[in-house]
Amino acid sequence: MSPHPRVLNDNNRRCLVCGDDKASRHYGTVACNGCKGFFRRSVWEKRTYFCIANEDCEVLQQFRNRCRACRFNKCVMVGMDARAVQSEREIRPNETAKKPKGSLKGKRSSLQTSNSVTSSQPSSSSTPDVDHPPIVKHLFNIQRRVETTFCPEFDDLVARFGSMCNVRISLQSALENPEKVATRTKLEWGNTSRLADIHDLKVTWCRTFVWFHDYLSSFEELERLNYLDREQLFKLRFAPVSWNLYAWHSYQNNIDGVTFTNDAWYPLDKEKQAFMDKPCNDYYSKIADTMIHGLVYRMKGINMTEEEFSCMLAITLFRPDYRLSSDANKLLQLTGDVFTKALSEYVLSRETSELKAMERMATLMIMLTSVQSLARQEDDNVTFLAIFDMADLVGLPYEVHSALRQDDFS
Amino acid sequence: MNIPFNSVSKIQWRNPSPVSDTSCLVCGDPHGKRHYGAMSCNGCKGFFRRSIWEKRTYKCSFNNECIIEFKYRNRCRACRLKRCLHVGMDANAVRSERTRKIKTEIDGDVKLEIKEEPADSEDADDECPLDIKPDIAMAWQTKEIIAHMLYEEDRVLNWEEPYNKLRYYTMDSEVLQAIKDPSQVCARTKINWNSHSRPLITIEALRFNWCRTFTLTIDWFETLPEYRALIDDDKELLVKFSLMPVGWLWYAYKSYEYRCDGIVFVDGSWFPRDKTIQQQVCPTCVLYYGRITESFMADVVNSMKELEMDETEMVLLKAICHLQPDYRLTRRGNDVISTGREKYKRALCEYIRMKSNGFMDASFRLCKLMQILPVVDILGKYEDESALLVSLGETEFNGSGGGLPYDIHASDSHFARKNRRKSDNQYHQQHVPLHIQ
Repeated sequence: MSPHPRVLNDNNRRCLVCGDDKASRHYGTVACNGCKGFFRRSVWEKRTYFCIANEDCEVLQQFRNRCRACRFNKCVMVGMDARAVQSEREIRPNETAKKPKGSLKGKRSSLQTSNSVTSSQPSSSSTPDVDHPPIVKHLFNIQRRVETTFCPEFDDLVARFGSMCNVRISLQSALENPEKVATRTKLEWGNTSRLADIHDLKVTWCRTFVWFHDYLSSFEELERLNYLDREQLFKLRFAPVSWNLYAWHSYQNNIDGVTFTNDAWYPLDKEKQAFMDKPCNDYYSKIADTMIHGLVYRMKGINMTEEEFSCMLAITLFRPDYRLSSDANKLLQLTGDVFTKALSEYVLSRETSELKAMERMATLMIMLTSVQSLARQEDDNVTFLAIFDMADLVGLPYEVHSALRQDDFS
Repeated sequence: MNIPFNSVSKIQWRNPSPVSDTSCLVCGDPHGKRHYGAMSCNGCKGFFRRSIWEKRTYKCSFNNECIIEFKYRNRCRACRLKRCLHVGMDANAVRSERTRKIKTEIDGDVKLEIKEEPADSEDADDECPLDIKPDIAMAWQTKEIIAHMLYEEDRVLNWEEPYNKLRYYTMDSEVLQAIKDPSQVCARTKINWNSHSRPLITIEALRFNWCRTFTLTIDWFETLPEYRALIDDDKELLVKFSLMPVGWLWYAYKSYEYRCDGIVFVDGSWFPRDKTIQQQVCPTCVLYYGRITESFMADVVNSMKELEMDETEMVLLKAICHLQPDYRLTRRGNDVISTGREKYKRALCEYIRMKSNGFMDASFRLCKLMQILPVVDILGKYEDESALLVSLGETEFNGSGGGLPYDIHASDSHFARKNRRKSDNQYHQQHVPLHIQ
């Protein structure tokens, strides 16, 4: 049986879209290079076109650029398959196709192209750079500003900082004037000069209290809350947000344990723990394991970015709770939803497919459960140590961390 | 090349002579071998396998009569696949994607071991870009996972057995024994979430519901292959972590489904949210459920209402909630659990994306569903505290002291057991009398 004539004579093939006489098979149908490229770009960049006529424009080789909407419709109509268009980041180098068969046993490496810079922009955009959603930038800037705010004149007093911490103060006074709790020393997350002692526990707690107060105060939305709601929100979210912060800095600085605000740290290594005070081990031993396994390893697994971290801090803070008033909960929910959508937009712009973006979002959301679990463990620890006065936590820490228990018996 | 279709019988196609003719029956490539029941080359074998794995359907742009020749076999995939089937390639011979089940004997039992199949090299001659998996339609594996889970959910909820009506539940079991045989904690009585009479909960009903929910939840855990793959120690730990959160997620879904303004229980009783109605409930139950109910209704059930959560989302969320990696588990246990969690997470993403209108809607819905998990985790911790307080004041709650509820609820406490009792006594002495006032 002789081969079918249509198969052999490439020169007789014409583009089914525009009629160009130099056509070959692309994306499941017969198309010229021009229409092939047009289709690929449209799919990559998720473009939508609008026909200013009646959507029945003639698509011919000489006029195919006159109306992109009709050209794209015709591409789809003649059988071009959007799913056959590879993700731009999976473009294979030409030379691999020519390698002998034996060398293909390993996975082909993907080739990144400069197209990724402009792929997320509409074709008419003149902006050369990828732009993050404005809300993501805003949250990033808040986080950076709070992180880098400190009093320069105390820069050399890190070693003596402890003498300036005060926990014998009520939450109300502390919220009015956080300097009473601790001075805004420079945050030394990356400094792990020595193992923590019982005193460092208090130092870090107090400095984090001030950090969280500054963070909370950066959101003008929260100024509309009444005092009771603001105080309750502080108690509810101080620990979850703090553990997000500690985990992030352990991840960023590649520290295998809990890093402190000063030059101390708490190691995961059981041998090092043997040299530490019993109250420190009571407080941090299990909680360090939970933080490293539940959060830090997960951050490493997805190569979490600082923008994502900034969004997660805000989402952790802006969660409603039945103990807040209904007005407060409405505000938190509306604002939290805005932040969640902004994070979705950011993640989508960085992932190769919608499904991968959703999976990344799911991984980030699971961290909310992890920080909540850490917060509960810390509540238990503070309560336990305060009851037996094994660390200097009676006072403000007890008031903050026993908030949930106080409800038990009211 | 001349290929004699009509003169070759089906049997001969399936068993061609290895000596006289090694040509691919699909495209004529001279280097053919038997694959999937027919003589085919590596290119056509791979093409067929990928088409079956991904359940692809192709469309011919011509008249479904294209000639498939070695040089031009990529011109029309529809005709190529049709020809593969025509020459006798068997879709059932294609293994599940990336897994191969090997039976091995372990201690006399035959068990299925999952082994990863070596990745086949791609067809270098294929000049078309390879199809990538669709990221919008649900993969067929996900459909199977969901169908299986919904089936098992229904089976577990309807699992009834005859029982001795005089003594059909107990709180005196050991955790490990209870996990192995949950029916020794409570007989599998009929589950009745949606009772018409809906009586208020009593202390007796509280004990029964605790036990019946234990049995129900362990039965459900057993439906997950990841749980079954764990060793006993890991199972015990995982039950202690996740029994309460999963149970609360289930209760919340039923309260939402049956529009109950409070907690519905498996025996048809309920605990009301309304504090006025709570005055008719016995003090022990109010102590146990009073605070839990506020968070349960405000933070969990309301979220389900706003999202109009469906049962598929609920069962997938339960699986994600259940499979919690933790540093106390063995390395292998953590691997099994992490892999399983990723599987259900992906299934949830695909399901939500399929039923949503665009990525932003889908991603937002996913986030709102995932944000239910930290709250049910808190509910589990609240119940830990309630159970310990009630058990200290009511020796009947735990039978003869300690017992299964204490083992479950005290396990996650970071206080040593003796210290726990000491600190609880302080709270107990200071506060319970005030509550009674």
